[in-house]
Amino acid sequence: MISKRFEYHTPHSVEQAVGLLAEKNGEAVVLGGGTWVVPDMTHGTITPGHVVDLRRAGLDGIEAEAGGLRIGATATYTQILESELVRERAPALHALAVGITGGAQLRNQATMGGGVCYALPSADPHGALVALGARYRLASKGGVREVDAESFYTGVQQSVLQPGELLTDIIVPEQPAGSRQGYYKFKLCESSWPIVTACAVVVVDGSGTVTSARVAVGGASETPYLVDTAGIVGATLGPEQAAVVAAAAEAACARPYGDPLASGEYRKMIAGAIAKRALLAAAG
Amino acid sequence: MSDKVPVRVTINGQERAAEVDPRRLLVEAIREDFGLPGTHIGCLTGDCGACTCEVDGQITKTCMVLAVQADGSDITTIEGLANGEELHPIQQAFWDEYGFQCGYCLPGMLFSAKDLLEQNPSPSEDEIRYAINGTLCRCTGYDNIVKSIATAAKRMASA
Repeated sequence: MISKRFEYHTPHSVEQAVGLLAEKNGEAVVLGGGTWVVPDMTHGTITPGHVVDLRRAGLDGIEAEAGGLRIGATATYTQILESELVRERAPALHALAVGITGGAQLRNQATMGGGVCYALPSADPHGALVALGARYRLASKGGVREVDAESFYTGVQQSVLQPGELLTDIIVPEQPAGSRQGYYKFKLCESSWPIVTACAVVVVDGSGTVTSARVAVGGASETPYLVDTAGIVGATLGPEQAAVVAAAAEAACARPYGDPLASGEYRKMIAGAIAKRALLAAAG
Repeated sequence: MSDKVPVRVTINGQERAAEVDPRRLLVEAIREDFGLPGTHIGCLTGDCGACTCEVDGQITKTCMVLAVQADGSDITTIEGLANGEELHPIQQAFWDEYGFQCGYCLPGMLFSAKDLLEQNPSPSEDEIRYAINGTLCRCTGYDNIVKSIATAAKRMASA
């Protein structure tokens, strides 16, 4: 049982939820799928006075939005996996949902939005959402703002999300015409956390020339980052070009992230190989 | 603050109610308030799967759910799998193929297998292994579990 007493709230709208967050002034924790927050409360890692459960706040939809899509903050990985819209417009997120560690139970319970807010560097969604140019819609009593995935994360379990703010939606913009997406996750064994993830969005023209490429790496550095791909735009993608991106991916790993599963040094060392695999998966 | 909260659930087909502390996890309420100890507490971190139940049709690790969140839910626990004295075909297959030793992981293994076979009645070995990857077994080395699920699939297809 959780040691510290708390009050449990189930707001029925975003307005009610942000009202509660404002009123509780930093004393509240937001409960999405519960796969982080509940164990953290059980283990006493966090001891909030108020728990604001979003399950009835109507945030679990996945809808088309301006050529891209909008994933509600409480949409589970199972919902993402079953969404035709995700499969069509953000296949990298479909691939990501397939590989979530923890089995069908975790896919049924965990939400991508919760993973974003928890901002653990090695979790699955960060790198992919940066590669896709996603924006996070944050609501507070003062209004709504949108933050690019790339500038959302500031450190290990740290982000620009303020105590009175709530993630309501993940916006995945329309991807470049003709682009293909690749996602690669490296883990130590079937039940391991991700070590390094990478995602690539690539456009290759009829003659096999890369006309645009966006590659991002998660888990290697404390925050997910974009990789400089200028070296391959205008070229035909082959082993040499992939090696250029791999070198750039390793070089851009500014603050290597280590945990008991893998050191920062190791993660930085493999970041290039993982970025290359995502790139080849996209181009393949 | 934080007095007990009424929680009403349907559990293995029976309507039940309890007054629970909001700090109680669903797995604790199932075991202690509803008296069904077949759902196990393992890691309390969501890793091991021993606390798996079906909640509103979805297999769920109940150590990551607060009991108050389950108000109004329809829950099936491992005790609800058998039909009286007659084991569920998946349970029978685990029995026949030596699919368990200590039995601690069975809630996770049986519900993962049931979830798989409902969606994919004739899974490959790889599909079976993928389906059980949310549950840890420290006895069997998994081989007999995989064999049990394959046997259950065959029997259920020909039933």
